[in-house]
Amino acid sequence: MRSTVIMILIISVPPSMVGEFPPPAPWSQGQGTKISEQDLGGPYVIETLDRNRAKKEGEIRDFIWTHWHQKRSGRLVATWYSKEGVPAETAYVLENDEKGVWSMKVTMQWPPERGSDPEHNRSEYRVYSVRRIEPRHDGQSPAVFIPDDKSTQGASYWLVFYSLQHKKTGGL
Amino acid sequence: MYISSEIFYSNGANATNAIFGSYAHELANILDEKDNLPGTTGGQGWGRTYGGPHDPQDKDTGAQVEECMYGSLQYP
Repeated sequence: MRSTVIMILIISVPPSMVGEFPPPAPWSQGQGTKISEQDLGGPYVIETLDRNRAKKEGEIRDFIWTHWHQKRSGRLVATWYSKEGVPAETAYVLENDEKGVWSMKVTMQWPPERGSDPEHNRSEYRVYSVRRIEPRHDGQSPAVFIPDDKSTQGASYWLVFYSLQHKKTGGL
Repeated sequence: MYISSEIFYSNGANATNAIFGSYAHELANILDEKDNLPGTTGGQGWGRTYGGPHDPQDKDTGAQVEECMYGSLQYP
């Protein structure tokens, strides 16, 4: 009877699991970069009328800038709710790309939208340069860059992301 | 047009900008939806024709208009 039970247990294991390694930890992302727990940011949730919006966004900017500037691997996840109440989850992963170049992968995910292709509900791009600028109060004024070595709080600057071709691809 | 009552009746320090910004934001989305079908710029949904696909806060056309007006999305 005992040997019958053991037999059943062995058979019930799916063949695909035999010899398989355990799944990677959630913070082990990208190009095999292992990220320590202190280099994990968030998850942040910023609601439409969040009273702590400035503080949370400042912390996110500080995390990204510090890790970028020090070339320290890290990962931060944040969810923003739009004015219409639609959530969008964004993951910032600071790591080397497949060629060993220091970069940041930004992945964004939205719920399905009216009229959009399912593929359009997710976007991913890679950043090769990050600059800090003074906050702007309109969309026309030129950006005033902050020197990389100047120490300043995350709530008092914005981040601009650039592609490998030095084109602006995003920001925060 | 729907604007949340928390914004419309707010009395925060930035309430005026938030109210006008939200009105312009939603008006821009309506005009975009009137003029453009979805999918014209690579599969985007309604009201996102001129939006920022990499904007983590909001990728619709209205967010871009509000950022043009004030530099960023406005909250009370």
